[in-house]
Amino acid sequence: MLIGIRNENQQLLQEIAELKDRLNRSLEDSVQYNRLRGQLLFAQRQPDRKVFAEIIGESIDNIHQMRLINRGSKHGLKRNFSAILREGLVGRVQSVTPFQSNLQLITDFRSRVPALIQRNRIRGLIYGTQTGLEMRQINRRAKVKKGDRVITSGLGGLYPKGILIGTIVEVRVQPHELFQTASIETAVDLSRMEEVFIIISGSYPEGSPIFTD
Amino acid sequence: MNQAIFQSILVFSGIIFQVLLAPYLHPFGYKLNWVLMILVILAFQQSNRLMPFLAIFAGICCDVFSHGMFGVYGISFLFVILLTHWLSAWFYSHTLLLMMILFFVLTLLEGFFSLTLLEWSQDDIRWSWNLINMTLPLALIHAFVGPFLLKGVIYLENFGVRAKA
Repeated sequence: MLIGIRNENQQLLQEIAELKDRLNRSLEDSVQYNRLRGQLLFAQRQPDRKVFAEIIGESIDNIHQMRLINRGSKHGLKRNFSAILREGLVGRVQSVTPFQSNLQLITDFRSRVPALIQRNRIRGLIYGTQTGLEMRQINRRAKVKKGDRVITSGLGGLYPKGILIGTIVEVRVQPHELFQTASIETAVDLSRMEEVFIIISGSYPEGSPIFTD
Repeated sequence: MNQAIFQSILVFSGIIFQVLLAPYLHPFGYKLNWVLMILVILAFQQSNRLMPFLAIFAGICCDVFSHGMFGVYGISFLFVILLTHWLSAWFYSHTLLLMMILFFVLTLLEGFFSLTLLEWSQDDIRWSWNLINMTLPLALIHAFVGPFLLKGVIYLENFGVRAKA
């Protein structure tokens, strides 16, 4: 009798463990589904052709802000292609191998993005500062305020025009400086990002799918 | 086990550990440089002619997986290994305090070398900011983690010897 109860108890415990595991997987699938659904709807709305890529690694040092993605030249990627998400700009492709590529995030200290303030079209240059972003070379007389949205200007030809970069959180004007500087909060939470879209620049055949995986 | 094989396996393990686990294991937000710690331990414990080559190889691997500029870590690791080899002749007892100081100083020096090399090739790297905010805290963490890693390496060495005996 007691042996039967013990066996039954063990079976039930095992069943609970399996159900917990299944519940955890369902929750994870649900979260992933919602996130990817939003991103794919965004990809379909945009006219550019995009490649969907997952982030599979990151820079091993503390200085550089790099991410490794699972798409490379075999999937049509080339150096300097822009990486975006529904929320905004992520960075650019720095180097490409056949099946993997390195992404340089906009927060990397080597990154420069020509940008403009959406409200008043004032131009500036976005610098990566490792910990965040700064918009420099803003006209000293320009009226810039906290909460202004900053988008890519399209100058330089590296990044397409109109992609959201972030919002201004602080403006600094020094009396001796020719320009003012603004601190920017990135639109994309780069530390929690799990996948990106790479915009394929240049010509592509008519009728080809708007995004590929 | 042959010393060269033991060293090679340990350095390879360090590289794999660095690539796979460093992004997840980052105390206080700092990614530890496991490869550097392993190289310092090996150079301090059992330095031989293979070590500089292993240091350059490990450095190039780290270059590939960080900024993609060949030679930065390769050269800085080589400098640190040569310095460690020179320092190891001065000390014969591995006290905890000595090893902590050694890891702290050598990590600082490695940061100094790599940041200087990066500054020569890249503008706007904020050399002093990185040295104070990135390298100094990392050196402190290495000073606490390094001696435990050393104990682990000594245990592995003895484990091999004991198995042979």
